[in-house]
Amino acid sequence: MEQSSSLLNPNAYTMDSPHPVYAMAFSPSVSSPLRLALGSFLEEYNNRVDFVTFDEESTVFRPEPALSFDHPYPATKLMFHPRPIPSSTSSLIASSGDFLRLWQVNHDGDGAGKSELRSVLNNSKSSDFCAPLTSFDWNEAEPRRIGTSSIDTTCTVWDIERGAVETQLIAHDKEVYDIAWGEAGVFASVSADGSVRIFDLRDKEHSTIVYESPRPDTPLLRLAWNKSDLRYMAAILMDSNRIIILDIRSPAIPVAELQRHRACVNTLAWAPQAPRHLCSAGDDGQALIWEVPAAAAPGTTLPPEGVDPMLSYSAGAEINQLQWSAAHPDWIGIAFASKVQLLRV
Amino acid sequence: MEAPGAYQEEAQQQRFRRQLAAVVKNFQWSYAIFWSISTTQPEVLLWSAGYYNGDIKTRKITQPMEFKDDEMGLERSEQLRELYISLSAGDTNQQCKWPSASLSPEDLTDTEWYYLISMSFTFGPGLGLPGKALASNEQIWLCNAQFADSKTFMRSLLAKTVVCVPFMSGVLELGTTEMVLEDQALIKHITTSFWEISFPVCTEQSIYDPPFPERDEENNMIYSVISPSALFAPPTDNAIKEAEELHPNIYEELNIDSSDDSWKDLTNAQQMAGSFGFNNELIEDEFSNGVNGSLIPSECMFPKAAFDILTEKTELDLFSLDLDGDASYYANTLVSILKNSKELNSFSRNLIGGCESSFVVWRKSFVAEKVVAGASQKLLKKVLSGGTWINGDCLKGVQEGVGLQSQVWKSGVDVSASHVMSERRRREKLNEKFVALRSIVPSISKVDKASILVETIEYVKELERRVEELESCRELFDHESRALRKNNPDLAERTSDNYCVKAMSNGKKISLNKRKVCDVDEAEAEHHWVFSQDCHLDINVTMSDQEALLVLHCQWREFLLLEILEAIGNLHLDPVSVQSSISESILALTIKAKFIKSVVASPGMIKQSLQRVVGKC
Repeated sequence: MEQSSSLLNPNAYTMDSPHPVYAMAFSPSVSSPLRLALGSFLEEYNNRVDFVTFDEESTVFRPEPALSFDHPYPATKLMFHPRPIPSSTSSLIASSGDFLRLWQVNHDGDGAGKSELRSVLNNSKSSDFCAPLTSFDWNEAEPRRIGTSSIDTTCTVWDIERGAVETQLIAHDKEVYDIAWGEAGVFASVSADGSVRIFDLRDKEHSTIVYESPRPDTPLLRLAWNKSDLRYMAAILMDSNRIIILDIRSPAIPVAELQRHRACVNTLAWAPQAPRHLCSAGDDGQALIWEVPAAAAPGTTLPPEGVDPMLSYSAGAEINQLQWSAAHPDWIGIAFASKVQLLRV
Repeated sequence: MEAPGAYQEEAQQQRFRRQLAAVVKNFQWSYAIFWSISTTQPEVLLWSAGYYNGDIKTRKITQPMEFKDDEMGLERSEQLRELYISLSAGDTNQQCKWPSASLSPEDLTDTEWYYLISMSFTFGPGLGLPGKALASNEQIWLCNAQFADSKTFMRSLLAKTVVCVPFMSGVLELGTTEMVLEDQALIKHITTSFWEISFPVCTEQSIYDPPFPERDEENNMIYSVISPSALFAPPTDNAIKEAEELHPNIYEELNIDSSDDSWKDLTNAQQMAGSFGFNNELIEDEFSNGVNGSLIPSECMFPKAAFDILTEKTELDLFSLDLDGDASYYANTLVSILKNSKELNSFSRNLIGGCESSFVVWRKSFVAEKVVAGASQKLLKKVLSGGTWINGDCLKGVQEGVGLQSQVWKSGVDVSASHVMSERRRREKLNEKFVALRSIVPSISKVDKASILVETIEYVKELERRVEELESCRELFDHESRALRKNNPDLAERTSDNYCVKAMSNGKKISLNKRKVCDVDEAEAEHHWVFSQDCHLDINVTMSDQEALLVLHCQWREFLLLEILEAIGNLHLDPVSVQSSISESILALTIKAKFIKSVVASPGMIKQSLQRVVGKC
């Protein structure tokens, strides 16, 4: 991978990748330099996950080819272990695709090291048949738990230490597209049936519908739960430029609908430390940072013209992925076409 | 600047500030700061007094009609100073501390922030622009200050042009956010005008309609004309009159600050818009409407827009600024000042980020055109579909529906996805059941579904045969014991043997067998009937679709009814209604029973078991 500097905006740091990139994850380790895992997106069996570090001082990307590993089919999501041991030189990263896989990445520094597959978590009873995973989320409060969402309408909660399924729920009537943990035993999921549901593992029989898309059965494609303020969730719809902000205390009525994108929204991420900031990106090539209004007191209404974003960035091509680094909250990573850019907030 | 008595000192300070104010306004620059030599540390310059004449974001006014323009300016600078003091004191409880009229951090523009931060600066001998000016005792005119490296000028983000003049016992610094070329005459004017102006003055400029195409020294020279007369009349009750008088000044500043022709239209629109009044409240966003040319209801509008233009212009300059480690000093200052407030953090991030951030402040113009992308959310949809690439390989082992499934997948995500899903689920269920069946039926060796079913059927039949066999064996055992009791061993045996054999070989068709038995062996048959006759058993069984009707007449004995019902239950018949009567020790019984299971006992079987029960007499 070559490193090139963007001519358009000297404050966006660009890296060219030999193949299109979709999945992206920031390492949550505060001590080490910014480390990114990038999953390729090739519509075939052979895909890769590559690692890159970024030096904030010198703004230089340094690929780590020793840590790269092959991945069967493109990874639909990548995520590092949310609470790594600070001084450890190895990290755990999970990927979803046809199955949930855990990889151990040993970075010995200076680009050396290697990655190996730790486990494949497969719950399909028949070896011939698998339901691909659309997404997963690693529970920060209880890091043994990973929740996966699948097109077979189920959500599976894995206990990765035992390597076994903790529970599998039929979450929706249609394919589940995204899942996000709130607390240790509570997660939310969105589906093609257009609903956002919250599940509590203590009461698996019942789920709460927090929101349903107004035009029935408009699929909700992505969900993000604000980890710094658990009242708020954001979701995006299929073929829509709107971002729905939900307050879980008042279900069914969104707090706000953010409508300033000029084309469909593809991805979004809450700010890891600020309570109500959100960044979204879409097909218009824009990454917008919003400040979400606090849930309105009953009786007040939002301004009719809607909420405006605070900041914006233009990438010039459809942005497919956006991640806000939890360890280095000044940095947002975006992926478009074959490029990965790091933006400073 | 020392004066005996606090009051006099205060008054002198005030006057000094006014003089500063006048100077700055005279030249229409953005700010003036007087750095005085510290009394505590020799040769170190500290912020002593300042006047901020630049853009303001929000104006907090307690008495709307009473302030003159210069008073407002002074007050603003005072408010900024107060804010700085309170922030640097590191008070966490800021919200309740600030009275309504004073400023809170959100009210400030970026330039105001820089001005505020400047208050924190100190200059050692020869360091920084003021330090150098003092050391060399010469004035310094710095153009393009934003390009200056940090050693020369660290606060370069506030001003494009900075002038430092050693003055009295300190350094007078003036700055403007515009490019002004060096002009010795101007400097002389600064110093002279400082002394000339002894009373508050707001310069009145003639109202220019055409904007200034270039800012050059000629224009500045024009501006240096001082009108000594006070511009504003003493406060009147007529707010509108004052507003209109204020109007031109605002226009001036607007014209000066902008280089964009669109602003001209804006000011015209403003003129046409008519009156506006002072506004007590914070108004931040309305000016964005103003951009589109609509009415601007408040006088606080213009600075934000001007600021936006400024930001846009200066941002490009800022990007090219080469900041080394030292220059992050003010960023650090900001951080330390603002670190107490969480909300401010984001603000400060924007502010600090304002110099290096990849993001720009969003403007409504961005939404103007809708971008028609190719296929919307293309990659995202591919990711979520689970994709043909995955299932093409995965399904190789599945027996049925492979071709159908992969075709369905390739045809697209939207419509067929749910169809396929339910189909897939159904197949999965079926497969699971087949596997379960395989585990139950022990004899199954093969794995394909057809043979599983065949073998299961055979197994079930086998089981049924065995059940019958066991049941009839038990019955014959009873028969035997009865026959023995009646001292007819041979006949009983024969009967039992034949009966038993025939029962075993012929499953359900016992009624026929009975007849056969009758035909073949009349003795047995008679014997059989003799039994019936002896016991006066008369059974009639009628079967319909769902139920059976039994009519029974027989000798009554103890527990007979119970045993009859038990026998019926064993035949998987559920008695729905029972009518019974006993007369002359003859039990007349009518039972309606419905079938419990799908496999129904034949009338013959029912009769036979009833006879067995009754026959134990």
